Amino acid sequence: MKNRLKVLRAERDWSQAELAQRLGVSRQTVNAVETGKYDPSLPLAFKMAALFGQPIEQIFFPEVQDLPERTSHDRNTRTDEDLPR
Amino acid sequence: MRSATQPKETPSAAQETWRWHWCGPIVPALVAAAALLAATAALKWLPISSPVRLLIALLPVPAYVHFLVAQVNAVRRLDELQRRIHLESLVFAFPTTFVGILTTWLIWLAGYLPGLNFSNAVTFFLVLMITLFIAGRALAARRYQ
Repeated sequence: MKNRLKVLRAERDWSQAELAQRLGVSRQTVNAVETGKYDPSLPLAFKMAALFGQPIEQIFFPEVQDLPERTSHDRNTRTDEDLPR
Repeated sequence: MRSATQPKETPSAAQETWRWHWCGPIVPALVAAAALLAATAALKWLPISSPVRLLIALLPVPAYVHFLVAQVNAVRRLDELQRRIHLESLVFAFPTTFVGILTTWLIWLAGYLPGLNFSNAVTFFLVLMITLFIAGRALAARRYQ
């Protein structure tokens, strides 16, 4: 999983320790998330999203190999996104 | 750009957690070790009658319980990554101990460790470890039901 945590933190001029303190986790955890060594839990990811005021998918995004492979059946099947609004 | 909202915790709180995890149980561990040494010394060198010997053997138990509670409290204060690290440490330590005991036992059976008396100790440790593991799993599983 990739993320924009480092960029968002830099935009706010926060240190890792400061961000960790705002999230209620250790600096080690922030560093591990930033470097992609650790994927945060959903509650922590939501906490980060709320802190930065952005949707979760604009902070975290999967790498190609993390995504499920779409089969020909999937491609031929209509999804919710295909439905008229 | 700095946010106007102030963090809820004091600046060093998150860092303190990890430090506390390692230092918090140290005092209870030292107390438990002192109680163990005192009980061992008393049982070895003092001329004490049988029922009192049992009492002395059980005297360190409150200190052990205190240590266990401190250990659990220390883990509960950890954040999610630190808990994962703790879990992975246990996953490494527990089976390694198990394999270590079994290997030492086989070496002893082969006749290369004549000074050790494994006959009762191995059975005791294996039964204890398996029982504790099953109990631990049952307790952990109950939390997520």
